Amino acid sequence: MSRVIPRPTAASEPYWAGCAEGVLHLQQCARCNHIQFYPRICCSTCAGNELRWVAASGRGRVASFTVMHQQMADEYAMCQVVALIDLDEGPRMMSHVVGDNATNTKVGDRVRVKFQEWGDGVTAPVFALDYANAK
Amino acid sequence: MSLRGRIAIVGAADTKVGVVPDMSPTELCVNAALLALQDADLDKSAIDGLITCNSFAEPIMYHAEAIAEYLQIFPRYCVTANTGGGTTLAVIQQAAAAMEAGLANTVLISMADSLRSSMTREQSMRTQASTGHPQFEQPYGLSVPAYYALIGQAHMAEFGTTREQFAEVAVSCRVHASRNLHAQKRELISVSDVIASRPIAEPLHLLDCSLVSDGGAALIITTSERAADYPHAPVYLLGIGEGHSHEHISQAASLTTSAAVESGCRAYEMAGLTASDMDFAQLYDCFTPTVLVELEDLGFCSKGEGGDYLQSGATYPGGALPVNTHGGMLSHCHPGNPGSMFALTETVWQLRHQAEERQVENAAVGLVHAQGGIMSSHATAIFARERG
Repeated sequence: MSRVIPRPTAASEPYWAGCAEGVLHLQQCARCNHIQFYPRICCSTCAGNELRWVAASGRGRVASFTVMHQQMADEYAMCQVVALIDLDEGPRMMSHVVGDNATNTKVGDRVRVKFQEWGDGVTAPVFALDYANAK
Repeated sequence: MSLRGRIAIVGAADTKVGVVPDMSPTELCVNAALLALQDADLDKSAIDGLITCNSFAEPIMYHAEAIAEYLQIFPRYCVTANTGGGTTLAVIQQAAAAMEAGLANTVLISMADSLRSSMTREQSMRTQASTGHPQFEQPYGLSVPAYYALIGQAHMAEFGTTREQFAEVAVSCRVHASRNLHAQKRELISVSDVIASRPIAEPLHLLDCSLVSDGGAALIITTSERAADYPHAPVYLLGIGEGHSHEHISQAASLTTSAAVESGCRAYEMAGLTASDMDFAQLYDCFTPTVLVELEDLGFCSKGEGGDYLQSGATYPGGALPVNTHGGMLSHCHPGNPGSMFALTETVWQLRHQAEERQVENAAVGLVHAQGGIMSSHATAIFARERG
């Protein structure tokens, strides 16, 4: 089995395009200002259908994580750190924590986005521990 | 209108479970159905409602129809439930509603699968990899244990829960299973065995994870008015409720409190009972942290105190609340979606006082909880010996 490659839809295409340019894009509702992830065709708070894309800071905090001892495909690292990241803008997303010190990850650690080539021309966001902004 | 006391389980059976290589999932499903009919002393022609769930190892496009065809029964209510661990209980609510509406009088629920003997490693990996959001979770390559590990880790960080406390779930299920001749795993284990077992997805190690099994189970349900006509004492449904909070764990409002709170409240309210009235509980135990969160969310202890509650010994045989008296999916068997059917059949035997060596003394009322997805869709049911 090989690594799962995300397949963008019309609603999510700007998100993936942003990743390819090194920018983490989130949707914001023009009516109620709610910022959401994952991308949708409507606002998950007010159901409004006018959504704009805003660039996120790329900073966040580890809400939870696991160190996997089972590789679901060869492209994933041994002891891959999979984490739920609470972005500073509010939404939570699934990702990896990468870097030499990734297995030292703790809940609450500050992280900063990086972008990785995922295959088939898709770039996906991952995160690195951000000691400079630790608090 | 309430479903309280309106329906009863009048037939229950398990197939042989564990490693059963000589039967296909379809044959196991039919075998479970035939054994339940025998338990209820009922002719198959009396079944006018059929509910099944699909098999991972042998998927069938119209599953319930295929089982009806195999058995040559011709129900007027026929549903393949949309699988997931919570389905086994949710379909009881649906069957009860269908019977109240006059759509059926006698419903057979039969579910089976052969995850152990009929699935290749490739099939199993693909099934696991298909869990999660296709664009925003799956690409990160999680196994099913990894999703649940996120819940365990969050509970540890928020409440100081320890791996030793999670391990109590596996150890107590194994003590129950040691008293069950049919359980797949019966040799006793210790907390240190769980801690020392192979790491899968931290904080979960091998013995924190449920089994991979073959097997099936079936129930026959009818209206309470008809239930007296059967050979065994009816087991009445007093309360039932569902709760749904998310599908993908990255979208859950909380990692440490689940919609078991809502499903439990709905079931308790319908039954007019509380957690302290339960003589036992069968809680969904795909992984050890699941049980700890359910104990808290269903009101058996306060939020954050699940670890202390488990270490008090309450869930062991003879404890204040024996949990998973058959051994659960951690020790009895776990053939996938049908996993919590065995929690239901065990509940029937406990309330009929037929549970042999593992009988909970004077058991009169018990709770069953199941959930599907990643702590996503919850269903809670309360059963009793008396109609109430």
